[in-house]
Amino acid sequence: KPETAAVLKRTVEALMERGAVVRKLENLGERALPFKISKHSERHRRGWYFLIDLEAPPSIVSVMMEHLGRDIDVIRRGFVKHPLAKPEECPGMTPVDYEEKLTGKK
Amino acid sequence: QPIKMENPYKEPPKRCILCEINVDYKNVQLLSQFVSPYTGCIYGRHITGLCSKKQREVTKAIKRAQVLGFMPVVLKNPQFLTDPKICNIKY
Repeated sequence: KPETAAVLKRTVEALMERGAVVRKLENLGERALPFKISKHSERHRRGWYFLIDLEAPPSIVSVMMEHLGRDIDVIRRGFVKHPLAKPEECPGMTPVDYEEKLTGKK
Repeated sequence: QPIKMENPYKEPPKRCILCEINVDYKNVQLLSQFVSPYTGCIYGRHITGLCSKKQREVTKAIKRAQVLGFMPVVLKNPQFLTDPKICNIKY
C-alpha cells in the first residue's frame, strides 16, 4: 500500500511540474484485471484503479504518456476527455420511413 | 370542410431502454449486458433495440473500457453472466 501511495505522489508531482491543475483524485478500488497484462517483463493479475480529474494544456498528453510508460508500477495509462453534462434531449425512436429512404436522396 | 390539424391520435415517440440513462465507460455491468457471453462481440442495433445515439455511445464506451483495462474483450465478465436479459437474442 505505501507503494501505491508513492506511485500516486510521483505522478501527481510530475503533472503539477508540467503545469496541470489537479481537481480530483478518485480511487476505484483494487480489482482483478479483466485479462492478464504483461508489462515491463512481469505478468499482472490484480491492480489498483485510479481516476485523476485534471485541467491541463493539450501538449502535456504526449509527454505524460511517455513518462507513465517508463514507470514500472503503472500497468495501463490513458487520457480521456472529461464527460461534460450532456443535453437531456434524447428524442424517442421515430419510425423510419423505409420507402423514402430507398427512393429519396442520391 | 376538413380542418387542418395535427394527428390527434398520435402516440408519444417510443423510448429506448437507455433513453434517460447516462452511459459511462466505468460501469462495466451495464456495458456487459450488450456483449455476447460466448464471443464477447457487441450486439448490433437489431438485437439491442436502442436508438442510434445511445447505440453509438454504448459502442464507444465499450471500446474505451476494453482499451483501458476495465472490461474483457474476448468474453463477458463471469460475474455478470447471470444478469437479466435485455437484448432480443435467443441462446
